Amino acid sequence: MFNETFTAVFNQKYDNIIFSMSVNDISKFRDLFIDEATNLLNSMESILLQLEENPQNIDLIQEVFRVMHTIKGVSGMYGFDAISDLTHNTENIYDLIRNGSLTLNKEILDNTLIIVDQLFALLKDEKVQNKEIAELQKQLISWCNKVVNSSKQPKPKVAVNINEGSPVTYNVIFHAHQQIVDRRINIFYTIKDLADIGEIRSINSLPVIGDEEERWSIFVVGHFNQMDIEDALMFVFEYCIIRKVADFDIFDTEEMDKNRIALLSEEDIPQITVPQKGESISCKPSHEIAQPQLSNTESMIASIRQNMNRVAVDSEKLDYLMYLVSELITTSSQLNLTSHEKGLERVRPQIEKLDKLSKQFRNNALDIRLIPIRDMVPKFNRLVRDISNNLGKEIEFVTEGMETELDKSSIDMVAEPLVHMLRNALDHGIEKPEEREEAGKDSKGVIRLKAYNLGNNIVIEVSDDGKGINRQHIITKGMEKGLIQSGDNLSDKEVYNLMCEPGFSTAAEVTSISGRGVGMDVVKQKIAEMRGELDITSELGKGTTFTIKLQQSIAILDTLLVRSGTMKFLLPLSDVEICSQLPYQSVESRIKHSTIDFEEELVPFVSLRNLFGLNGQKNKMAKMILIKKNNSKFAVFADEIMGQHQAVLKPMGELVKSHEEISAASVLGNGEVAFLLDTNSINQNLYTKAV
Amino acid sequence: MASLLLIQVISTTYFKMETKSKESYLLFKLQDELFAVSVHKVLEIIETGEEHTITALPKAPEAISGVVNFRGNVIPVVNTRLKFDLVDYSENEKFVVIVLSLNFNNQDNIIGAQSDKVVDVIEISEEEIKPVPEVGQSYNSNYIHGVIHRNGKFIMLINLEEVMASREIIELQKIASEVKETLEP
Repeated sequence: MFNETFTAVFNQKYDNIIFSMSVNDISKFRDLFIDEATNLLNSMESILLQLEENPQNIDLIQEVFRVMHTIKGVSGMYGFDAISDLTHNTENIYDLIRNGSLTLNKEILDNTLIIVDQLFALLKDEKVQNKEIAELQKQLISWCNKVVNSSKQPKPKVAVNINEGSPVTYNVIFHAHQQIVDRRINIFYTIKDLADIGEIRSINSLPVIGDEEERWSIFVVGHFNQMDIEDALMFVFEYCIIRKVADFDIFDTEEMDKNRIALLSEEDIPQITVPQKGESISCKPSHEIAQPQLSNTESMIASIRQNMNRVAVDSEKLDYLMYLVSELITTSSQLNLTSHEKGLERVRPQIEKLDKLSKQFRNNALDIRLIPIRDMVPKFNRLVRDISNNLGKEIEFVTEGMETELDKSSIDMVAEPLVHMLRNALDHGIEKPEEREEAGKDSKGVIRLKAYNLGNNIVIEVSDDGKGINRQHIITKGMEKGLIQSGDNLSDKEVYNLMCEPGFSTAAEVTSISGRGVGMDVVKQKIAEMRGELDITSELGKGTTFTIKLQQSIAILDTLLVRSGTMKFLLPLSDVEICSQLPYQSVESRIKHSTIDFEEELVPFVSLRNLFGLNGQKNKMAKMILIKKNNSKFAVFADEIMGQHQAVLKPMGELVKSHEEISAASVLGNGEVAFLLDTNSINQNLYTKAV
Repeated sequence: MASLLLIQVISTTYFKMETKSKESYLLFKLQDELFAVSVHKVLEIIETGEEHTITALPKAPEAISGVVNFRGNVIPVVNTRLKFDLVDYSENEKFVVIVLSLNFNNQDNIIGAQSDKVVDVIEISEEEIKPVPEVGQSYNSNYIHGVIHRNGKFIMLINLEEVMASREIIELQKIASEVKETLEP
């Protein structure tokens, strides 16, 4: 008894503590930085590739500089010193380039790409413990220094117009938004950056109206231009209104007098009072000043509106939304079931409507999680560029249908197989230019990445116009490795499947790109994990096509719910070909052979009772579910077919990850747990046993 | 006014790392031994019964009794008695499932651990925790990161991350008795 009351009290008391604890966790902010830095570096890659096309584009150069500067600033705050160091050096180079004292060349671009890779590596290894990384770091920094020193006239950044002309005065209205605190932007650095470009003459808080957040007015005087001040404020740019107050130092009374007539041509002007120390400034701007502010505000609003079309959402929030939706779906299907009971006729229409609505809601929520494949393309561009350079091959990389959308988690998972497939196409598929010319092809090879919707599935194809797969070559290799006895009677499909066996590598010599014996087996395994299918077609001399067929979402699946003994299992509905029944006796008599005669075809089968050692009362008839997977068939025998179930799939965690026949679980309407059978692996086990 | 924000920034940046020297631990029992685990790792304690039945997972790895529906997620339940080489629960024996959030194999894992019963929540100060003696090679002291002595009883602070990440069956009785022997005054 004590036990029960105690647990209840415990759960109530500690629930909140635990959740509030984790929210404030400091590591979250570090994660946030890593996220942001990763995004920035990703954007860097595509910027650099664009720069390669037109190296004169000053906007792109400016962008590189900004990204480096941003990462430098923030990484220092979180203790990523190596990153801070490297970005600082890179920033110097691009500073010289944008000043025109250095010209962008291929060497710089190539090395910048290496630097981007190094920065990615440093995000994971902040203490630079890996020796290779440390060595590369040294090389890169000394290279940076060399480039900077070799530039025509190494001139310091601010020195350009010191003592030239008169100083300018800028006013910055800084909105101390809660987000700044939340995002852990360190305002000290911003203030320090400001002090670097000019002299801060005053910082004063402005009167707060209503529940508005605090605002400060900062006056900076010095020899700099709009761009410098924008750079200094880059972390808090969106919270600032920057405007030029005067082309002279308004705090210098002599200058002020000189310029007084010019500035104060209207009567109602002297609102810019020169603040005394500690006194707050009331800043009612004059007409001249108000004008630019207005247009500034307008353009700001316009740009905010533009950003509103896309909303960046924390993926955890989406996960939670999905969780709620799945609970809703579960409850609503439960309700739907009950509504068929007597006496509930009156509420039936409403329940049916609720059911429809929640399904629409589910589809909509799933839709939100969809991401176009396009987001991965810059990475692939980079990969193809690097590898083709490396191998001395000429490649045209064509993408098609990149607006096709996939669930966020699928995008994450499909990236790895796609990389392997592209590498294979580059390394094994496309021939060297000379070979291609000999074969009468264009010296430039084409690799095509194509995606499209096919019914409920998403299809991604990687194809090349290279030499194609040499069937005989694979058979010989397969025999050498002892994977097969002879190559006779093997269908093309079976031959290509050999390539996906672990440890199979056909590359005559092992290159750094592929052919390390991992590759196709990883591709196959990853795709199987996503419950997808892999298909290979090839024509000798013409090229090879790898086709991946995926479900749009791997989180929710239409399934068939079956029971055996007391256990409930789920089968993906898309794999189910036909349902039938047979007397249990005849099933059991065939168990040793594990094949059964169905419609004049010998079909391998599993009996769930037998497979999992289940007991309990048996029906006279066993239910047969015929599964078609990867173009082969097998049968599953269960006690009872219970109906369709929209399964919200849940992984079962690290401890039971390696389970062979069961890949996920789902909670049924009544809270019971049902297991999803892994048709891929059952299929594979059956066929290997048969051979 | 202006300084308010600055102070806020400083304090959130620099003083968040402060930790209390006292921490709450959940005390639970396995046969005759008392164990403690930090409450921050405990998400909930589930009474098994109508609402929460453990669904057996066929062909499950050793010492996994099954899975259970926890807030809509499916989590594995570890049979701690088997894991620790103790006598398994008999058919009608009551037990509770402590739901824990543990970080092992580089990820957060939510798992259930069967326990005979939860006893109490106690505050333990850091000075009170005695290190595990280095004597005796028969156990892996990684599994226990400290021992405390309260009311004439030894309570072992269990390192559940290590225990769960390891594939082996841990001979708990041996560890417990050896630790006690060396610490007994």
